[in-house]
Amino acid sequence: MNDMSKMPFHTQNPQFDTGPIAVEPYLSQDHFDAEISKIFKKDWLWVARDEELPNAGDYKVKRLGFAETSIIIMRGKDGVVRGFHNVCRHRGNKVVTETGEETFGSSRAAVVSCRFHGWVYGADGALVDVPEENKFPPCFDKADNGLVAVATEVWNGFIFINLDKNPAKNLVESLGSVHPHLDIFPFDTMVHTHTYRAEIKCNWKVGVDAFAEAYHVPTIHSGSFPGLTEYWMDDITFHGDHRSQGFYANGVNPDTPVGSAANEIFAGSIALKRTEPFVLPATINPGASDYFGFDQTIIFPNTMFHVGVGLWFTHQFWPVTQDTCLWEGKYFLKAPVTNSQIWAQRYAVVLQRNAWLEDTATMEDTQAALKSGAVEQMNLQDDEILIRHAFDVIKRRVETADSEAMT
Amino acid sequence: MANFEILTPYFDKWAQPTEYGRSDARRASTPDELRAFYDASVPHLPAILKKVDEYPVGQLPDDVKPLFYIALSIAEIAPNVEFYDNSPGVPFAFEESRLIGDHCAIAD
Repeated sequence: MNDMSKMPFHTQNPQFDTGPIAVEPYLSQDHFDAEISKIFKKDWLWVARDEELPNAGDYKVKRLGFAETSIIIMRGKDGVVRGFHNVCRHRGNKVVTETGEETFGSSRAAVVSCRFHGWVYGADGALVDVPEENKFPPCFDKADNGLVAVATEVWNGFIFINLDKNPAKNLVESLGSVHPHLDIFPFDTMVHTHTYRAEIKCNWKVGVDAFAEAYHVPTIHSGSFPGLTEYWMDDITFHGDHRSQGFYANGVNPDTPVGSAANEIFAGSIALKRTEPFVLPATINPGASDYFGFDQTIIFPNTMFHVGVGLWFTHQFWPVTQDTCLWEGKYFLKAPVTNSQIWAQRYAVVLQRNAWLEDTATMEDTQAALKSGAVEQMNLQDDEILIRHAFDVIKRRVETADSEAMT
Repeated sequence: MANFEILTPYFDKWAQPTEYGRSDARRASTPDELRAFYDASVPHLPAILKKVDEYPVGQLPDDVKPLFYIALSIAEIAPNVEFYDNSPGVPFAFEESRLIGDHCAIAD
């Protein structure tokens, strides 16, 4: 029987239980429905980066399958980014035809027009042109029929939306102490993006949980990160419903002909040594440890930011059904300036892609095993305290009556 | 380009402009084929990278592009040879064919 002496994170955070957690929230349809209505339709969700919309008239359409909608994010001639449901006010067709989870476009006139009957909307959502407008009845007024707006705010280049018509908090208030934690990280200097996604047959929380601990690294990543035999977390911080931690490792991947050649040209892999001068926020690697890998900040409910020396990456798990989710992994580096840098970055991204394939491999097996009903509880160790925090936050949010939700 | 003639037998399969093309070539290989490509091409990698750096990004001449794609295929297969014992797939991994990459269909 262990005692608490080997559980420093729980000792420092006595608000958390140490007993097993219930499996039921990972399987139940009712629980899933409550998560959608009380969390995903209430909280700020990251949907785009500033750099994706550099010019007036640039737009991105992001599908939000859990809410059965998609959102047009568009930059106006005034430079402001605004969000709207992608639904025409005529007879409800999608205004922008989508080509996938994320659709990009640009309009020099800063308008979007519906392909069905040609209704035209400005970047402020206003309905500006209706073909054959004189055939609509006297009660029809263009001024009453702009695109339906969605709360949209930007923090540090991250564009968030909130499906609640009257969000309880603005974005920065909602981020709380995440704001000072990540505020000076130069996200906008590293925007060369590699995006991967897959529909995974698991509850969205199985995905978030799997990336929220380093306990799995020596086993799951013995293939792609053979040098990371000992991995640990520190700097555990709870930011309201959000949470963060630092990941540290005792080693890096071994020297290999191709891996080392790539790393010498551009150090873009978390599994290889990165030593260039780089200023991190004060709360990240506060002990200036040589073993620092990256900081992970989980923006509740579904967004995981990871920042390190000269790189950052994200994971998002979007609920689809109680046992299906959409995973999106994005890896960001400085724009390469030579062809050999393109090559070296591709090595780093391929290695990371493969590591993510190792991570996602467990998720469907986990869900299938939980669905068997053979076990009703899961056991967590000290290093899995962020999973505990997520479990507690979700339980509180789901059990809170709608009338009390405005905290 | 004469120095690179030894690599031309590998162009058909490995000089793939996209990440999907390169990962498909990898997964369609046997371990011996992966190893043979690695052993034949990696010694020329420094020379290829030097050659492609004679040109600005986005301005590689058509006759140099296959060499760049060979280098990118080396990056694609290097983990398999250096870490996965020449396994053409990523061991213990999510089904690779279900992974979508926004950049993977775009030619480098």
